[in-house]
Amino acid sequence: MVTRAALCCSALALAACDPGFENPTEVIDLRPLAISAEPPEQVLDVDLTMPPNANDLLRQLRPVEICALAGDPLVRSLTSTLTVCVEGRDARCDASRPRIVLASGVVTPDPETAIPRPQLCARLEPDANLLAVLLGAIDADPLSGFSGIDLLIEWTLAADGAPAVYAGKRVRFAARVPERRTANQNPTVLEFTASVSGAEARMQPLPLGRCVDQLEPLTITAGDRVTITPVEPEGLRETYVVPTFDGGVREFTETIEYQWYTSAGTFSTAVSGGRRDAFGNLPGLASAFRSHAAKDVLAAEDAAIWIVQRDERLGVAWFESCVRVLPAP
Amino acid sequence: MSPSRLATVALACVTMSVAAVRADPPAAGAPAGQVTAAPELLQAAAPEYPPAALAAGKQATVKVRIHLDDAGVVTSVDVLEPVGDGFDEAAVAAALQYVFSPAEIDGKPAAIAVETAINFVIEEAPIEDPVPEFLTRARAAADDGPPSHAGRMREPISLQGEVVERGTRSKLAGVTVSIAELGMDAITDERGQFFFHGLPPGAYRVLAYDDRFDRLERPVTLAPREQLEVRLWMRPRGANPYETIVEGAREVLEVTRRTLQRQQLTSVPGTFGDPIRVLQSLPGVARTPFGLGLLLIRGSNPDDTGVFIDGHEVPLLFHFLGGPSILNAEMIESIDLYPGGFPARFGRHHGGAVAIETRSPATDGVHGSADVDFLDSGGYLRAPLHKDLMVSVAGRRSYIDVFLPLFLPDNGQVVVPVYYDYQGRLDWDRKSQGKLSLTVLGSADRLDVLSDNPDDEDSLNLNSEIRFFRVIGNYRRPLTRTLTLSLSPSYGRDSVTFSGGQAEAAGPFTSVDITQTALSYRMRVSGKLGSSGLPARLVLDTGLDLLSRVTRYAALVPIADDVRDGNQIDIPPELTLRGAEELALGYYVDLGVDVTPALRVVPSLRFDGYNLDGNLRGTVDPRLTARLALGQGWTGKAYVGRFSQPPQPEAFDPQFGNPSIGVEHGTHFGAGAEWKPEKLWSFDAELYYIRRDDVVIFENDFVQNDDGTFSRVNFTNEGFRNAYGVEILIRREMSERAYGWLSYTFSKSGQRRGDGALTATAFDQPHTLNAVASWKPGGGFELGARFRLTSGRPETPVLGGNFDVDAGDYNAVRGDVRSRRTSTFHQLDLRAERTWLFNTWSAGLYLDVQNVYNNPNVEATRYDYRFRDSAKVTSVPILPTLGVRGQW
Repeated sequence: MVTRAALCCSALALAACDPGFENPTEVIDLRPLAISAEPPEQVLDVDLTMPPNANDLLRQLRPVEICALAGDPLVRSLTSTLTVCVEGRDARCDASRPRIVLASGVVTPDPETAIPRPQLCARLEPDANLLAVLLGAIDADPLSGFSGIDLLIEWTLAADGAPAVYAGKRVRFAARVPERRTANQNPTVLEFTASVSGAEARMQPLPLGRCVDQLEPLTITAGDRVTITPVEPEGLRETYVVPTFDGGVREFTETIEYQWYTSAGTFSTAVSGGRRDAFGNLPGLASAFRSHAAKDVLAAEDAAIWIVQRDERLGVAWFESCVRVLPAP
Repeated sequence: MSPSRLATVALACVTMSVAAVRADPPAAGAPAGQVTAAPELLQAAAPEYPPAALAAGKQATVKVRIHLDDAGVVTSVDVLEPVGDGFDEAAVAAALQYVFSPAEIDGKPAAIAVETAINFVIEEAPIEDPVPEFLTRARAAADDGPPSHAGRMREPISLQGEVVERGTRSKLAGVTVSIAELGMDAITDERGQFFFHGLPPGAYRVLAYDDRFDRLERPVTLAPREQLEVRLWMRPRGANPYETIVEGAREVLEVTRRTLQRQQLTSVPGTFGDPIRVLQSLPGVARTPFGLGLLLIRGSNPDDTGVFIDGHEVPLLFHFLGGPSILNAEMIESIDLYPGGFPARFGRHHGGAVAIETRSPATDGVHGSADVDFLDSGGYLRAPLHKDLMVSVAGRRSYIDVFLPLFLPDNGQVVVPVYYDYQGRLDWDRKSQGKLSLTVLGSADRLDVLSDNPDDEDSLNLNSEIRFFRVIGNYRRPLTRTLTLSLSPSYGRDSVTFSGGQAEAAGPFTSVDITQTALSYRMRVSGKLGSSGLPARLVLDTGLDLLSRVTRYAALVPIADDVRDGNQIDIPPELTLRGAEELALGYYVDLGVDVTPALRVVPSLRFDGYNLDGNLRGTVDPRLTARLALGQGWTGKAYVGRFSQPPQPEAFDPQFGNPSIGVEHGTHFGAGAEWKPEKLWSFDAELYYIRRDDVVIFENDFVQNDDGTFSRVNFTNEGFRNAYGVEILIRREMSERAYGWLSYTFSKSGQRRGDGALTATAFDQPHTLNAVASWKPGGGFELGARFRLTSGRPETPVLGGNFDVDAGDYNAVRGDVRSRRTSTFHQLDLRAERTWLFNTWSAGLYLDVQNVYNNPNVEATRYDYRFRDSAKVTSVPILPTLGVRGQW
């Protein structure tokens, strides 16, 4: 016991070294940023003590709208595939079990805008294919669906000539255990406020939308700092119940976290919000954007901003914005 | 007296020490009895200087082994290191005339062998002419007293004194003290004293000789009726004062035991003078990453090896983050490493065993030492409280936490280890009633967060600490003439604490407190069984071994243990109190049977019964070892045995563990050979195979109960591990000028879960080469080097990363488990030490440089957030350490 504790302490101390990796908040090449599912969870009225009834399940299942978002500094064609499957190793599909290819194809530059949104959306229909995947997942679950069945949405994304990148997101199908269990809803925000510090300090709502879609994006001078804070609606953090292994019920309240990305610059924190840290500190919701260094901004540049909002129950939403950075006078 | 005529004088310096006494006939590999009375040289004969060598001005030292029969009569003399020029023959002729008192082994007169050196030194001595009558009388008179008295005992003492070691003030026994002009010799007694009776007035040269020390000459002038008292300070020859040679003649009941003497090993480079760290350079011991203080023996996990101090298990041997050992070097009598096939008295582990004996303080006055370097300081003090009551204390405290902030960059933050340890021992020698001792030892380690921002430091205070202490009592007394009884109770408490909380909070937000209270008791009877009526010589080691261990867990953690995938759930911290009680009773017996004078077979048996939180378990572990003396210094050895190890307390906890968990088992097979062509050199090679069954592994699975609820499996006994390899050790024992060894270990260790594939263990290290050498060129200098070359650590390759949208981070896509290795590790450590000897104390200045050529040894690989970029985590860079130490 003491030996292993000593080993942990040593590892903790040694992990403090900073190897100088790239900043995860700056999107410098093709990256999947988010996948949303609407609804993220479905609660079904089924009897877990009985074998699954296919007709009963089919009758209750609802379609799921799935959208996936990537960030890519380049304007280029992307090959993309969305698959629904039973999760295997490394957040990838289990190749030995049923799967559904929801969408597959090439996203090409839009002749209208010349800048396509690197996004792929598809609809998961409540059909026999879904049922087959669901039954396969129940079969693979050591709890036989007791605490819910998660299906994996696997997104494969590749630019021409580059290796594919992968992302995964789960959608949950849970039995109504306990009886007052309700399905999760995707989170949202009222708005984001932007507080600009620097020569022209000010606070204003953050305009949402892509850079190409905004006529007057938030404009700052290189070197300024923009602190972006989400404004959450009342009741955003849902209270929910889950069954425990000993037959009991526990009730929790969701936490909400925000993940921050930009195409040019950095954010002070990659993830804000969420649960308390190990010291009991409640993390703030805001994150501060800082552009590239003033000496590197020689002409006006637009920095795309992506904010991904997550609850702790597979709910995901994302928001896009833009900050125009002017060279320092 | 006419100084005009000079003559040469051949001086024979005969010294004996415990190291030089061996049972005779010393059949190679045969067990020796306990020397209860060493032979004393009652009469020495001066050798005849070889005329040709004398004419050529040659001098020599002839090392001889003198065989005595049970009456103390010299039966034969062997020259150990022939030097030629007639010296060997002259030395043998002289030694054949020596007269000794009979030696006793196990209380009975017995044949024995004594090793000593006869020095041939050409002295220019004035010849007195004529020889006075009193001198004729003195020379003619056979000393009628003990060897420490020269001259006629009925004459008054004219000159007396004591011989002490420079630097340590230790009294030196067995030193020959001569008055050259009179040809009178005395040999110092156990208190280092000598006496000359009836000397006439005059000027004399008092000479002191011992092959361990530089020759000493001191002029004295004796006035009429004067009684002169002198103290002779002798300088250790080529050695530093921190070293004394102690080599016990213990019974051999195991096949392979690698013994480190504290005195030999305070100068190994890269160890900062810490003898216990030298364990990590012995064969069978794998290198630990980052120099962490783990004992990885023959492919085992750290928990599989038991560390015993005075027979009782302790949880730690080293401070963490590569810190020093938890014992001051001065407190250590011996360190034994048993890499496999160890005796039955060491139980409840199936890896290896390390047995450390603390040192009983001597009664020769107040002595101490102090050691200061960049990392920590330590001290040691021993003193007699009464004639039969001795005490020794030691302690150490690090201060890297004091100095490191001075070098922190802006916004810098670093986690540093802070440690201290302490030891104390009280010995009461009750003579025929036995010996009592009480040892207290403990250590504490904690991690501090250092930051140049005080607020950061407070809010990130880890409050992590590991501490333990032990109180060990021991009562030892003869049970019969050959058997010794030892009773030893022990009480100990270990604690591990982690906690985190905000600076302004009333209490921690998260915390884990684990305390373990251990009460143990050992009763041991060991020694030889009487020979009358028995067909063979028997050596017995048997006893009882009781351990009661209570582990308490108090965890304040914000997770719900019974919600699957609940690590993102925000629930308030809950205090979880758990406990585990373990009671273990063991009985063991090792019986050494000398089937023939050359063959010793040791059948062993160990029974252990366990009560693991109310669940009973039992093990029976038979073992068999054998050593066969093959002649010419060769010894063959082999063993097979079963070893058992109970699960860790958390593994049988009803909630977080598995109450039905069982005991792990290991089976050791080994065979090898030892060759000792001469006293200084030895060669040891051993093949081994170890299989470990029923290994406890964590299983993240569930079982459905009859009522429809679920339970976690947590732990099962479905693990399997094995290890095989070969170890080779070539060792040169310490002499006046040098010591060293070369060790190589080939080792493969694998593990699997259930019927899964066998993969390398986390600490698998196929090749381990260690070379250690130390040389004393003279002038108080000692130079040392250690070179290590080992295989890299096994790693699981990372092939890429998948973005987990729900978690917001990347999951590594991993290749085959531990299918590649970090680069080969190699490192050179150097050490230079200069010692200054003063009469009453000594001082040393040392520079110990680790990783001299700054090789960036890779210990692990770190990856960026999406597992595309990686960086090598390297071990300790070049690390010079300057230290001073003093001893008095």
